Amino acid sequence: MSFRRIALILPVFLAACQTGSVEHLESPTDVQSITGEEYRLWHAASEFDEKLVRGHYLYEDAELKRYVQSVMDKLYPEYKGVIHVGIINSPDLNAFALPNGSIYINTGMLSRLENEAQMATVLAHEGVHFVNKHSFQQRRSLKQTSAFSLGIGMITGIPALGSILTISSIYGYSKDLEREADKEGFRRLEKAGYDVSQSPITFQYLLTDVETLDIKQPYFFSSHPRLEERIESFSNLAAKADSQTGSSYEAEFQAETSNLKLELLNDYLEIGQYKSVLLILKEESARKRYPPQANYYLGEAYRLRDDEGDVKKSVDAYLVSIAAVPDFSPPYRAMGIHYMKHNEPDKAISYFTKYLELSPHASDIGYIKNYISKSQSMRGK
Amino acid sequence: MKSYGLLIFIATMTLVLSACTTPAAWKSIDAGGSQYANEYYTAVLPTGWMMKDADDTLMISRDGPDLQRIVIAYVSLEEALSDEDKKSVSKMLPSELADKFISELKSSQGFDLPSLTILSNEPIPIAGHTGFKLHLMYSTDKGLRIEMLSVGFVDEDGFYSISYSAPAIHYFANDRDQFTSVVSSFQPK
Repeated sequence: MSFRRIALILPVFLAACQTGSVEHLESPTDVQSITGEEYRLWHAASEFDEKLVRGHYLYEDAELKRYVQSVMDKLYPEYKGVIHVGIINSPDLNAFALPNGSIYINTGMLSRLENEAQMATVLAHEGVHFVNKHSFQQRRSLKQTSAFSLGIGMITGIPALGSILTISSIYGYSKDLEREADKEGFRRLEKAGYDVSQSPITFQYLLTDVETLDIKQPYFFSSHPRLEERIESFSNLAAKADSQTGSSYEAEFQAETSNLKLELLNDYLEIGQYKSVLLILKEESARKRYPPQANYYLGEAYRLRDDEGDVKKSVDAYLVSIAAVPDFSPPYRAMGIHYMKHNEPDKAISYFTKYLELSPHASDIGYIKNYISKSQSMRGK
Repeated sequence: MKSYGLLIFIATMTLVLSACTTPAAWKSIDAGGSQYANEYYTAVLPTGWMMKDADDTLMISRDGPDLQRIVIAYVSLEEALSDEDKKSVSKMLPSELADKFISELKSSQGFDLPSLTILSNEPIPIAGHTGFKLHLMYSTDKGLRIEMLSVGFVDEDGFYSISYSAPAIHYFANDRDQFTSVVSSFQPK
C-alpha cells in the first residue's frame, strides 16, 4: 500500500475509532511520571524530532522561532519549557502536535495567516492535543500499530519529508477530540487576551486557499470538511464569548513573518509552481497579507507563465515592487534581463548596474557582469 | 517547461541524486578506450572507471555510484519543445537555465531536499557556448553531506548537462579533477 493511500485512509479509520479512557495532563510535572506504552510513544516522538533536525526539515530562523514560541508560552504559561514549537520548511498547510510536547507548524501555514491571533488559534488548538494526550487516546483505541509509530516506522532513507507530512495527515483526530481541542483552545485564546473573532477567520483563510489553489492534500488543515468543521466550531464559540475585545497583534505578526512570506513565494517559483504564486497574489486583498516585494514574485510568475500579455504584466509588477521598495534588488535584475532580451541594451545596462550596486555580493554576479558585457557589445550593432 | 524538466530529470536527476540504476550493465571504460562518443556528443572519460550507458544518459563511476558518479545527459530541443510549453529553451540565458535546473532539481524531489544549498552559481564557457556551473550541497536523511557540481548549456540541437556528485567528506575532493577533465573534453556533435 502506498504512503498516500495510507495517509488518505488512516484518518477515516481513526475517526471511526472510539477513544479509550486516558487521563489528561493536570500539570507540567505529570510528564515526569509517564510510563509503559505512553513512555514508548514519547520516546518515538523524540526520535521523530531528531529526524527532523538531522534531515534539515526545520526552518531555521531563530527570531521567528522565538516569536512563535513566545505566543505558545502566552497560551500555555504553565507548560513553558515543556511545549516546544518548531517550524517545518514546507509550503503545505499543516500543523501538528506530537505526544512529547513538540508542536510543529509549517512555513506554508504561517505564510497564509494575517495576524498573531490567527496563529495563536492554530497553536492553541494543537496544544490541547498534547495536554489532553489525544495521540495516546487514539493509539489505545486502535489496539494495534499506532498511527504515530506507523509514521515513524515509515521514515527510512531519503527523502523523508513525504513521510513526515504523512504523519501530519494522520493527526486528524476524531470529531469529538477535535471539538475538544477547539473548545479548550478557544478558552486559552480568550485567557491570553487575543481577539477571538479572528479564530474562525483563520480557518476561513485556509479554506479559501484550499479552494483557490485546488489543494488536494489529505492533511488536517488542508482538508475541506475539517476546515468547515473548524469554522463552524470557532464561529459558535466566538458568538458565545464573554469578551469581544482582545488584540490581534497584526503589525507584530507581519513584521515577524514578512521574510518568511517572501521566501515561500520564492520557493514556489523555485519548484516551478508559478501558478500557485499567481493564485495566491492575484487578489489585491490577498496581496495585502504580503510585503510589497511580493509584486516582484508576481512579476516572475507572469514571466514564467508567458501567456499573451504576461510580459507587460510582469514588467508592471516589477515596477510596482521597485516603486514600493527601491532597495530591493531582484526586480532590477529582472528588468535588466527583460530589456536585454528586447534589444534595449542601454536600459538593460542601467538596471543591471543598479542591481549590482544594491547587491554587490549577489551569488549571480558572474552572470550579470557577463550580461552587461554582452549588452555593451549589443550597443554598437 | 514541464515535459522538458521531466525529460531532464527522469534521465538525469534520479541518477545524480540516488543510487537508482538503469537496466544497462556496467562495463569498463578501458575496454572501449577513454574517448567516448555517441550520436550527440564526445568526451574523454577517466581510465580505470566503469560506465553505464542507457538511452541519452551516461553514468560513470570508479568505486560505485554511491561514492562518486558523473552523469552526462542530453535532451534534444525537439523533445524539449514538444510539450505544452511554448518558450524557446534555446533562447534561455545561462542564468535562466541554471534557475530552471535548480527548479527541476527541487521540484523533482517535492521539497524533499530542504537542505539543498547553492554554494556557487556562475557562467562557464563550454564547447564554445556560455553555460552554467552550479556547486550544490545537500544532506541525506542520515546526515551524509553530498556535494554536487553541475554544468549545463544549450545549443541549437539540445540541452546538455554534466553532473558530478559524491559524499562531501573525502570522495568529492578526490575526483573533482576528473569531472573538470570530462567537462573540458566535452564536445557536442
